Amino acid sequence: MKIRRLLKKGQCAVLLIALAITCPSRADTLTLRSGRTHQGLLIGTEAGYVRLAKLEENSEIELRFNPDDISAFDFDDKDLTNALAAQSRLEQVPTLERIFEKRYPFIEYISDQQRSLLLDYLQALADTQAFQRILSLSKPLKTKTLPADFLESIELLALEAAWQLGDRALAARHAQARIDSGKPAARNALPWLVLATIEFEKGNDARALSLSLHPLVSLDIRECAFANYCYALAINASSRSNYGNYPALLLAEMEKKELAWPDAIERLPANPLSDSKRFSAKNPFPDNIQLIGNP
Amino acid sequence: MYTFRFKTFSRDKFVASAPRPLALTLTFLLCSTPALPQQKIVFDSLPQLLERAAAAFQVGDYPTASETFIHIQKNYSSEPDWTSGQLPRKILPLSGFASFRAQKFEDSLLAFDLFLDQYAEDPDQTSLALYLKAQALDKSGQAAKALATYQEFSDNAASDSLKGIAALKISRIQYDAGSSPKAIATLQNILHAKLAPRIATQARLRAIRFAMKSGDTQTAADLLLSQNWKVDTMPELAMLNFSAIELADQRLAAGDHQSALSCLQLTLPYPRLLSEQKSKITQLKVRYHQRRSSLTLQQSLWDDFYKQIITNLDAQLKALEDSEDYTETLRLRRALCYLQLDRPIEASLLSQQLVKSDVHSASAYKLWIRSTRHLGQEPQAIAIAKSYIAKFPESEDIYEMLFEIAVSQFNLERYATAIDSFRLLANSAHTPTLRNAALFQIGLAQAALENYAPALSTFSKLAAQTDLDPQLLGQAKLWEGLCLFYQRKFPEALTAFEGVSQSKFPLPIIIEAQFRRITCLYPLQKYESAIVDASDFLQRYPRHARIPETQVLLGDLYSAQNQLPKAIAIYQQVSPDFPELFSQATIGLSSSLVALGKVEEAKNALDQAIAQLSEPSFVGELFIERLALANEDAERNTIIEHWIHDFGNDKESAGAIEILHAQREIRNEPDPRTREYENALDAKKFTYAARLLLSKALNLQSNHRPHQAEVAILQIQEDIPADHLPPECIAYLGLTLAKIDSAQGKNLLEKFVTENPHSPFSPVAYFGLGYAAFEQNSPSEALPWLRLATQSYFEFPQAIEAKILLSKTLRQKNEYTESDQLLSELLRDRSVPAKIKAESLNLLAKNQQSAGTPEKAIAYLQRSYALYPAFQDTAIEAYLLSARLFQIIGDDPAARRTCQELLDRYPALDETSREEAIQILDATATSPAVANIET
Repeated sequence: MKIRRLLKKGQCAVLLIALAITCPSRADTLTLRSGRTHQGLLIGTEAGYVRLAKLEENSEIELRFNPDDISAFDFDDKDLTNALAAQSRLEQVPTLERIFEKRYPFIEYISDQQRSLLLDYLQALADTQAFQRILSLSKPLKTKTLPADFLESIELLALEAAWQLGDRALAARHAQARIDSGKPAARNALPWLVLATIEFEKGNDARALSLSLHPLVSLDIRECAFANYCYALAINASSRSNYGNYPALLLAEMEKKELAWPDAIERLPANPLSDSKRFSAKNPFPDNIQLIGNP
Repeated sequence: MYTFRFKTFSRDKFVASAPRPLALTLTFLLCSTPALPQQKIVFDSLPQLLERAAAAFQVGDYPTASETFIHIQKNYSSEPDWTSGQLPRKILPLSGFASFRAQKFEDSLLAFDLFLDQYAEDPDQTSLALYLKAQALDKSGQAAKALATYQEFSDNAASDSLKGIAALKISRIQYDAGSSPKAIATLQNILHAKLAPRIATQARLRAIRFAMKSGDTQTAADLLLSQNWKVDTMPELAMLNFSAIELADQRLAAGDHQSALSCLQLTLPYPRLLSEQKSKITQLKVRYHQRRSSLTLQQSLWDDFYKQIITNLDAQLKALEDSEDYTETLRLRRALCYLQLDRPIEASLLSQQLVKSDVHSASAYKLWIRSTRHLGQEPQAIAIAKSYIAKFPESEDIYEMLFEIAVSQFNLERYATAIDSFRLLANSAHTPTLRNAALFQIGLAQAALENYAPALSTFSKLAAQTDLDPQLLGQAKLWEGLCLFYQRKFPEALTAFEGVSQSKFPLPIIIEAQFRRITCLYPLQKYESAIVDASDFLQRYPRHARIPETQVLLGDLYSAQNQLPKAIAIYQQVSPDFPELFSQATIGLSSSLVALGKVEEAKNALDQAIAQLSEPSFVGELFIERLALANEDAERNTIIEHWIHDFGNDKESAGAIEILHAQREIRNEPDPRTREYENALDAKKFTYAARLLLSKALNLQSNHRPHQAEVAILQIQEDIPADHLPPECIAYLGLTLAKIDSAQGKNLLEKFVTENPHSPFSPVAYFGLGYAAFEQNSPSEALPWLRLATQSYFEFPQAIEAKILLSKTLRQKNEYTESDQLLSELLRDRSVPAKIKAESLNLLAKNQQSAGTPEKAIAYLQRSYALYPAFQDTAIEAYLLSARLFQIIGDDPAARRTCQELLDRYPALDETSREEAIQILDATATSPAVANIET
């Protein structure tokens, strides 16, 4: 732990007021691995150290801690977290924003549970269509050392934000990066949906069909976000290019999985001018092979 | 430790107050007992005994608790508190419970029986006692009594959930007693009752297990797949996962790929399942520990239920941790299912993922190859196989990849190359299975080339192998018969098929042999025998794919036997679901009705069939047949208009040429199609417009106006967008372009034969390709095309022209015998025009000349100019060639005579021929032989 005089004399009053306002009866608490605790105002990080400001004998000091020595952070934001339960999603945004601002500097060091509220803030931004804000926040977040699950969620939110803002090029870059990372599509099909939609709009039905089917072939018992969009796009691509029985098969499968057709996608009829693409291999003796087999 | 609640006990008064925790109750019990009048003291006072029992109960020392409660029961049963029922009403359930937990089931049953017989008042207590009694009976091996007691518990249960728990227990007893259908029915009742999700999930999973263990995979699949699983709330993920995998395997083995795929979609990747299972167990344990402290004694059955689930889940987790990662294996199975379900795109995506994972490499590559092949991308399939060979050059699986490459070559119709590849494998593959499969494919490729004799020999060689798999042996034997059949050796084919049908091969092969046997009997005119066999076939295999064909065949057999009513009856059975056969049957039906004089009925049958069939490729023949039965032009016009309206502009429509020919015949306009053609173009009915032009061209051709016909066909190219051209127009346009030496014609025809391998207009295209190759001095290239054109089943107007060209090509290849044979056939054929016969004689002569037998050549030439002098061109050619040949063999007088005859017969001879004749005369004028004759 390093100690230094944080403030000049004139600034002491400011800190005192800040502490008094921020924590009239409580303060942020750091618990060290040694068991010792320190209360004060968590003011950020610098050069890899966590900074805590506190008053000591009417003198303001800043304590600096190596994150490795800290076992727990306790933020003085319980009034905010408690308020969330009673708030609508829209009302939650400013509350979550305050929590975010408070905790963000320490995001790499706090517990998963404490970090989850930061993700919740980004999700709330998505729910309230504040996509630009998500993009601006996600960029620095992605440079931090964070758990893979957390980063994955950030990447998906950034992708969704870019897509919703109509920035196809950025969305495509995000989607391609995600696909290239080799992460499975079982829970979120958005990256494939984005690329498939772009191909569909270009008229590349075969590519659109292949991309939209990609997450669907790996579906498991868990829910997969945007699976219904992928089905809808695959059905439209296969209808437009008359891919054999694919539209009917996919529609039946979609219904069986109780997936609703997304409002955002218009259902296309089959294209009568397109030749039907049948997928049976050529054979000079189709009947015989079908009935008695081929080794 | 649990904190049970049950009604408070007091010596003076029993207050049915709100339930209290057990500790409190027992404390109260103990506090209240000192006031009991102690009439008999044995070792301990009643309060002491109660205190001991309560303490033991509280710490879970059930043997002591049980013993103490029994002790109280034995020694204080004459106490007023006992006899009044107040004490036993409280103690007996505890005693029974403690004995049950101490596994003293007899004691437990005694306590519960006594309680239920004499003291049961409170429904909750009664319910608990019944449940515990049933459990004790079950544990002590009294299944029937346990069943009855669970049923009684269920009947008295206050809630549906308790009934559900009883049903779970009952089903297990029923299953253990060997009655799985009953057990499954009991569980299905739970599902229908829409109980708490946890019980419903348990019931559903258990029913699936029971169904699977009893081999009823269909019921298991129905239960597993009938509705979605609420995976977020259910802890039994591993159980569901294992059941789904097991069932998927069973459905795969049964060939039910759709169900297998649906089962596989209920599974989780191994690492994910492991973490999910751990998390679910933790969640459940937390919830259980949170709730158990508030459970009353009456609710202890829930405790039992939860504990059972947790025990099972822990066991499943252990099994899961001990098992191998199955993720990629399941992915492989998914890919296989997709491929079998005619969904090659998904199969290809999954197999590519597998290839990347490097697990199951050979299988993954094979699936990738097959799905790519299924997408019609044979060259890519070959490239994938080659990439495997490059990556794993030491692997034994490279033979399999070579096999796949050869299959692709076969599918690309590169049969000769495929034969070479398969032959390599047949000689060197590492397993006999692969060697034999390769040999079989060689036979198939030879058959595809219509080289039936070598194909027969290959299949015979395969069939002669020892230890051959019965499936492959049966297939080889059947193909022996097919090769004989295609060679029209019907008696031998019949014998072969009889041999197969009487052997113990797999049933599909036997059935096919039986069907093929009937098809042999028909050309052998063994109608009666064929009728018996066909009728038998229909009866024995009513759902077989060959049924519609057999019905048509039987109809034809009855027709051949003139048993027309029977023929009509069987033709009428053919389903419109098989458009081609339905169309054939309708034509048979119509012919039979006409033969019986029922023309109107025949017309109706055709009209109905036309209304039923929407397949343009099969409805054309029905229209043609219907036109033939029409009495008046008005009726014909109506039929033609109907066809034009519904099918005239459809590229797939067959019969267009015949129908438009009929249209031309009934209209008296000089060129009925000019106006119609303009109208069709205006209406953008380009396909129909193209057909009108082709019809016009063919009409001109048949009227010996070939140049005008050529112009009409070339107009198709000018006026009609290429993607609207129907096959017949492409074929004739290609031929015409090829004849005017256009590379475009050759390209068009090559595209046509690739895209329309079985088109009735294929011979036109073959002829065009042969013509183009011949004109480019490539007889080797021309020969196979011309053979295909002349051997085609379909007739076409240029058939004779094609034969003439083939004979010329054969001569260029020094194949004189075959060429002679072909020309002799033309000479014998009465339908062949005289001009062609004259040309044939000249060609026969040229063959003889090339073969070095000029005398024979001269004989053919003399026949030519003597029999067909009217065809000046061929006659002049014959004279001149004959004269030259005489000159060659040294018979100058004959040469001179021939030339003189030529000059005398054709005074208006063209200059070139005249000069040639005079040259021969001049050259032979000084010949000694001539001089001798003149002398």
